[in-house]
Amino acid sequence: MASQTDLAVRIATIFDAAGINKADKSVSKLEKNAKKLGKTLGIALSAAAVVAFGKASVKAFAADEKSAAMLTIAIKNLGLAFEQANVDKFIKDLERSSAIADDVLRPAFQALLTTTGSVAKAQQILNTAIETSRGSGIDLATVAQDLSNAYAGNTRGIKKYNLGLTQAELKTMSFTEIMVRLNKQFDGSSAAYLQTYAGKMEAITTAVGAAQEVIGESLVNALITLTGAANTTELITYIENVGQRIADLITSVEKFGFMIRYWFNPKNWLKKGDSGAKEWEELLRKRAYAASKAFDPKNNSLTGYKLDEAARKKAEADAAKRAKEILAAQEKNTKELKKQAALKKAGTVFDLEQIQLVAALKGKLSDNEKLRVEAQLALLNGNDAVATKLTNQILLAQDASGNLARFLAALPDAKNPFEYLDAYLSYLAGKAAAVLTGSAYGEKASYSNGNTTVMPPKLPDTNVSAMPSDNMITYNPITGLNYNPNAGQPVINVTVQGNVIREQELINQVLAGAQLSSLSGSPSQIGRIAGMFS
Amino acid sequence: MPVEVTGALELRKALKNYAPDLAKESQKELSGILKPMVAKAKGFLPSNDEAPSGWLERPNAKGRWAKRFYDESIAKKSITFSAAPSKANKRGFRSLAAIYNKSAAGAIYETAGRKSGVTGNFTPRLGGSLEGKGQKMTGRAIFRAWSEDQGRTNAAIIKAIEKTNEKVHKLAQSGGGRLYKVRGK
Repeated sequence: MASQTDLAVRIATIFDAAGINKADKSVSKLEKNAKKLGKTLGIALSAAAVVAFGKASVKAFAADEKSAAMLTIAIKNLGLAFEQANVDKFIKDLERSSAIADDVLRPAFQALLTTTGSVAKAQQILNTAIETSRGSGIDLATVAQDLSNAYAGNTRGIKKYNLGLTQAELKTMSFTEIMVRLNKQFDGSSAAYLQTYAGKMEAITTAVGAAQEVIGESLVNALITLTGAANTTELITYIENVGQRIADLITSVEKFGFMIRYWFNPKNWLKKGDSGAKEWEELLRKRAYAASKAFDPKNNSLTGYKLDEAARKKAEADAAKRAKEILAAQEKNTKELKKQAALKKAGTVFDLEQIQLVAALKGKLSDNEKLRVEAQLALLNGNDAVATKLTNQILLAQDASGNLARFLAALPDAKNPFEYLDAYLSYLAGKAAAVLTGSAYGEKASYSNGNTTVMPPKLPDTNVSAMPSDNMITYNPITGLNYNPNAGQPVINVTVQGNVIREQELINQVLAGAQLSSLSGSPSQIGRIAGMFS
Repeated sequence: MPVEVTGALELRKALKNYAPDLAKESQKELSGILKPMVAKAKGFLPSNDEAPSGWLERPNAKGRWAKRFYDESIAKKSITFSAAPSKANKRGFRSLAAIYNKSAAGAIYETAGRKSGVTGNFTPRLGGSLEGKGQKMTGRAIFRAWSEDQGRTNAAIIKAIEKTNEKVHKLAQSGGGRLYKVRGK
């Protein structure tokens, strides 16, 4: 209601040109389009348009003829020349029914025919290819090529049609099975497509194209008839001659015009009769000279284009040089890559630890720290000489007298820490045997009855001290070896006044002594936590 | 950032984006100016007793006049105002505010007799008086109130817009406001 001006009091109205401008713009655009349309229509009806259409028609005919010729050759080479008429009819009918131009159908059919070698088979597959192309939206040439490949056993291209089959399944399927699958999925696609607006438009376009080809053919035939040429080659020669004649005619007209202008000029009236012709010659000469400005006396057909040849040689030499440079650069690059690969391999040795060490060396370090880091780095790199040298320097820095370094250098090789166990066990065995027999281990013992026996071998030399005779380990012929941890403990004898036989009596004596001390002013103190008694 | 405001529409946009509070205040001010005019226009509408009896609501009425009956309460309620800019008309003019009657009966009462005069059986019975200048600016309620106002409301609205414009400038100079999409230099 508010938008109805007559029914509302409109306050503080302002002019907003945006809408008006927009409307103006639209009108202008409409006007331009209308003019354009008019021009287009005008051109379409003009003679120029007719000529252009004629040209396009001839072109279309040429393309059509080319594809037809190629197919004809293919059919002939396959030994199926007798099928030519059949194939032509099939292509023509298929063009009409499928609304696909014969220019497109022929190469597709040719691909299938050369693969199958059978016209009937190729026709059958092409029908399926058309349905598949319409159904999948993939162009017919691709589909035909894929089907040709599939016929030959290469089913890789079939996957794109989404038949719900894996590549492995496709590989195992026969061509017939694939065709069945394609027919099942895409049958009727072409007919359905032609029912759509786009399909109808395409059908019309194809029909127009076919008509254009026919018109083109007629035009070419008409020109051949008109010129009296036997074939297209003669027609071309004739057209060239006509062109030359037209050029000559134009030149004659030009000369005629020149002469009229020359003799109508009062200055030339007193000149001789052939002066006009001379002037004309002069004009032609000037024109020739102007045209020959590009003529190089040192480089022409008479001189054998020596400069051109030299330039060509130079260019070839440059190209060879460039190729050599490229090759050298490639070799260098290859070498560099190899070097990088080697470095990369070697770089695996330089782990993060090395990187950290290098980083540490770059930082602020004391001399001693620097020596240590360098030594560690040398060890990591396997540089023994440098590592030893640096280690000695470190040791010398720690002990100026050099004793530490010498001591460490004189250290023997590290021993097996459990080496003594063998010796210990041998010792035990020997001792046990000695207890048992009363003979030393490893010696030859003689008995009273004249018999002798060899004792087990002596203990090997060892730096382990001999076991102390603490009596902790004893040997009993019945029970074997015994171990008594308290055997080595010293025996402390406490002499208590009175008669103490049992432990309780000793406790009682201690208590009595403690009480006595307490009464004497020196009480007993017990520290439970510290375990103290005084 | 100095703010350039050109025209009332730009001012309105600037207000919306730059000072929403001021925009609300401005709308309230415009409403305050328009409301008395609306009340005055409502006062010119006839009561149901004064309106032609055949124009009142008839339960069994059929046809196109069935819903065009006059009802004082509906007609009064339907007189309202808008402080929002309208769409441009075919000549490109837009109004910043408008007073109108949303009901059909109210519009009929407003405009009946504008073109052909107060003649016939229906229009003379409506009562009231058509006031205003020109054919399109005359009416019995809203246009009459507008005519009797003698342009005071119009001036007040323009003044209010100018005042708001000044406020926006001051606000921009002081660096206040919330800057969103202001055209600035």
